[in-house]
Amino acid sequence: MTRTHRILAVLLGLVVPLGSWVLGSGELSYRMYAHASEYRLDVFAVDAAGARHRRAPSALARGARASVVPLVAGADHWRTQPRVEDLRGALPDLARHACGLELGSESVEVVLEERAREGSAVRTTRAAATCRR
Amino acid sequence: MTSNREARALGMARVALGLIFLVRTAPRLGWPTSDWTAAVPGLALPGAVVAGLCVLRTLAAVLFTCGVRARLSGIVAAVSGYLVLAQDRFAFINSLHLLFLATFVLALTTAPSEVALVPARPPASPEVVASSVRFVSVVLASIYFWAGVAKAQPEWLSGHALEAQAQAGAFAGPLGRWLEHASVRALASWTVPALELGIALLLLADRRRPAIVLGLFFHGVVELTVNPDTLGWQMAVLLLAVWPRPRVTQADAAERAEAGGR
Repeated sequence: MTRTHRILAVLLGLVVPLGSWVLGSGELSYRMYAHASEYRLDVFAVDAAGARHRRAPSALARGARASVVPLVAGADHWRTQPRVEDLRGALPDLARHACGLELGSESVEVVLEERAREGSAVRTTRAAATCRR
Repeated sequence: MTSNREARALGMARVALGLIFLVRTAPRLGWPTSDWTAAVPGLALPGAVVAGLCVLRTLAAVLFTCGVRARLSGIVAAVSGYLVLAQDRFAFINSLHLLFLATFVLALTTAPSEVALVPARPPASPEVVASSVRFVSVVLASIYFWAGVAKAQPEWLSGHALEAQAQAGAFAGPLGRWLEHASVRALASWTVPALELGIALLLLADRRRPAIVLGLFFHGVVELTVNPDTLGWQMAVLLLAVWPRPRVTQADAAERAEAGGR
């Protein structure tokens, strides 16, 4: 191989996938269907009196792109997904999006629960956003 | 005269991949809307810029396919594609990643010099063509290698990942219902990573023929099981691009010319 091709081969074939695997969510390392996590979402709207009201995650599909809809629709029940990292990483954004849906709330909290399978340990991630009036 | 049939195969692969690129992305994939999504952190761009990138991506893909400044246009199409894709982190799918990567890779080979409206000049030397074929082979090997390594873990090998995704309806192809059977899942959970790692090793060892035959068989089965967007077609294009072909050396060409003159 020419020197340029050798460098590019190392970069594209080794550095990028390995970096994605070690430092990121592994999106660029061709994980394909290797993993299948389960997750569910809880959405709470907090009113002016501080009371928490549970909302259906499906409501978050309103005003969202088509790519978001399958993630939130019916997510009050356990769902299977090859990659939950994206949802976890975007949870604060998702809470802000919920605020914009005129839920009549002071703030919104979104709770993501993940598990490898039924009965295994649950990882919980929370994100909250204060809604502008 | 082509200096090498392998160069022509790379050029044909460029055209085929360019057509897949255009069908899959043109003209409005990722076009900005007011609907909510989240960008990849650090890569969020204003809507007008994203719209411009969608247009640029399509124009560059057309030039890449036709073979007009195909090296530059391939790089621009791939980079634009990645930047648009990064605006919606939930829209990431492996077939789009692979589509942009393959475009970038072919743009950096001798593919722009062949089957082109405006071929790059001067024509690539046989050494550079051979290097291009090897480069594509190594990138292909890396894709199979990482895919295989990712599955060499209990969640996949136990069949759980397959079972969970089968229950979630991920395998919508005609063969997908086979994965409802535990025995088929057990077989698949070991043969898939073994095949992927095997193909990677064969490509790295430059045993391209068996690697390509196995790869095409593998993607055929995956296509009928998962319906994985255009991923199987893209991999088939890359695999066929590196199918070993007899090289036409200068001595051969001279001999043929001499024989023709008799």
